[in-house]
Amino acid sequence: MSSLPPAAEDLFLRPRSVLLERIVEWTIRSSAFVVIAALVLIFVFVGKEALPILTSSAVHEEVDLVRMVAPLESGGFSWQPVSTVPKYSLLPLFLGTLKVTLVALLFAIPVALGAAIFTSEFAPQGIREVLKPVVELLAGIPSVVVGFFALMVLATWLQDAFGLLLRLNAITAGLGLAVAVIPIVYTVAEDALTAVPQVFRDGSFALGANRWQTAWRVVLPAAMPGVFAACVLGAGRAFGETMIVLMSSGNAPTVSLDPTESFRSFSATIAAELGEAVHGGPHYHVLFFLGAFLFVVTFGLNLAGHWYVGRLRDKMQGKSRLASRGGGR
Amino acid sequence: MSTSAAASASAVGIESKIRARGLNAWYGVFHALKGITLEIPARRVTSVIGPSGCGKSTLLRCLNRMNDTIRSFRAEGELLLDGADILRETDLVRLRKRVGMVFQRPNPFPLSVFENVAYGPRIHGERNRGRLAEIVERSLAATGLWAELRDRLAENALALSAEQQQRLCISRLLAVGPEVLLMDEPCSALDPVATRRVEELMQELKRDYTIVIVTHNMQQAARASDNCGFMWLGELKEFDETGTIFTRPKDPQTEGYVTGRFG
Ligand SMILES: Nc1ncnc2c1ncn2[C@@H]1O[C@H](COP(=O)(O)OP(=O)(O)OP(=O)(O)O)[C@@H](O)[C@H]1O
Ligand SMILES: [Mg+2]
Repeated sequence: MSSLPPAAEDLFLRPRSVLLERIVEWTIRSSAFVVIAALVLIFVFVGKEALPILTSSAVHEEVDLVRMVAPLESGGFSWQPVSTVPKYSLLPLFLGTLKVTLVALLFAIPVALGAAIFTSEFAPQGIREVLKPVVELLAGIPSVVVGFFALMVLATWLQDAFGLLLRLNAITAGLGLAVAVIPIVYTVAEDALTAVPQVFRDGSFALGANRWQTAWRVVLPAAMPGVFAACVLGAGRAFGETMIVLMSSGNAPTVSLDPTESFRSFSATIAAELGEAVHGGPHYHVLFFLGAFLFVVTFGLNLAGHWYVGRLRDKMQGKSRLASRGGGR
Repeated sequence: MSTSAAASASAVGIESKIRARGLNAWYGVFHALKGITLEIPARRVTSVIGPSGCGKSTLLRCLNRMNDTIRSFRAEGELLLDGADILRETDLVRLRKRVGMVFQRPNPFPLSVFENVAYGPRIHGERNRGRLAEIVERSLAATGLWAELRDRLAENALALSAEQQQRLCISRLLAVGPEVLLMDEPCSALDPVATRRVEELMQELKRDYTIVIVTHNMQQAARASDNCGFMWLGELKEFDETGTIFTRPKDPQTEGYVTGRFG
């Protein structure tokens, strides 16, 4: 300690600590600003390249919004951007994306929620400490590795097991995609379940409920907004994931909801075609338009997910919607 | 061993609901309850007082086996509910239906008022909407909440005041038809007015239920309980009628505690 009297010490310290505080504050502020700026710039860039779809007459000679959505003059819907008469129907890509996302979620959500409930409500401390990091480690597997696994191993298994006609289809890709989705749903849901205060469980046990009843009727409903957020974030991930789908979908833009048929997704289309599309041509702009669409949808899903996590916090503090609407007592 | 407590335990000549003889409990190697012997009379309020960490909650949680979830916990000795062994009871669901518990912090589930009260009957197999509604009304009425909340049954229970929440927790308990109500410092999160209302409620409830309450509030024990036990470092030092404990305690430590000389 210094031997200066307190007042003098104050004199020396105050300006320096204020300066330090300012520097720290500005560092934090500017890094937050950089992140937001990057996000905005990405969106501006993608949006700028997508805009000619709406505005450019040169592009309109080949494609416009109506032709992307309505049936073709030749009948039907097809995505053939590099044929002599380029066709840009979005329906095949939309159905493909929808199909694979649904298969992935149908598989990932039960598995992830089951694992999350097991981890937070049933597993002994030791298992819990291992299980959570291991599942979260799954998220770190590069998607190209998962895609490769789906392409080489999963496809063969599934074909042998179910006698499928095609190796690469929405079931194969959906299961591969589930590997990427499970860790997200699991982590967010597990956090939500663990955040449910122990006193709720005690209250339930004290009424004679067993672990199942407590998990199912008290903990899960209490954590619902967070669990829902987990599913929404998982959907966002499934929707935007590219490499796994690109490798294991068969990449055929079919108009079909049959999960055993090959398909093509929005994201895989962009990845596969952008490198070959003529810079500034209609095809190029269409791909950016798809990119902007993906961006908006995944951004929206993430936003919704985080909003629901916020709801969870309110719920835990007793700020129900009913209560706030009901006003004073 | 607490022989002085054993002597005074049978002083009251009424039907006893719970009987403990040489009850010992451990958290790992820590000896938390040391030879507890007492008789808790039926349809009375029995309070347990003593300094922090003396084992009051541990004793209470033995009575409905809530400590089973703590891995290191172990209890030995005789602990009888209507003559049947609590510690060797295999059907915990049945035991906890008979011996319910109210916690220190009000802990209604983050569900509606109705669902909170209907929860117990539901998990015990009641499906009939009409009967559930009946049970909910009766249980809420028993704590005086029905008049206040009959139009707010769908509201989230966490939006109620702390005192209403605590009474809701009591209603929730009554809905499963218990015989014994354990209350671990049920008023410590409440203001004095709310505390008085819960105490009045206990006086009404003791007509039908056996109540055991842990409290740090000496006035509360004196006001609201018929019998009182004083605990000290895991031992039950003295157990007698509340009046006797507060006016003519036999044990010098009890006297020191109730007169506020230490604790
Ligand atoms: N889960 C546990 N593991 C280990 N020791 C425990 C555990 N719970 C309680 N104890 C110990 O057992 C002793 C009695 O605890 P208990 O909670 O019964 O005391 P109490 O009289 O209720 O205290 P308070 O008035 O503070 O609530 C304390 O010394 C405490 O540290
Ligand atoms: Mg306690």
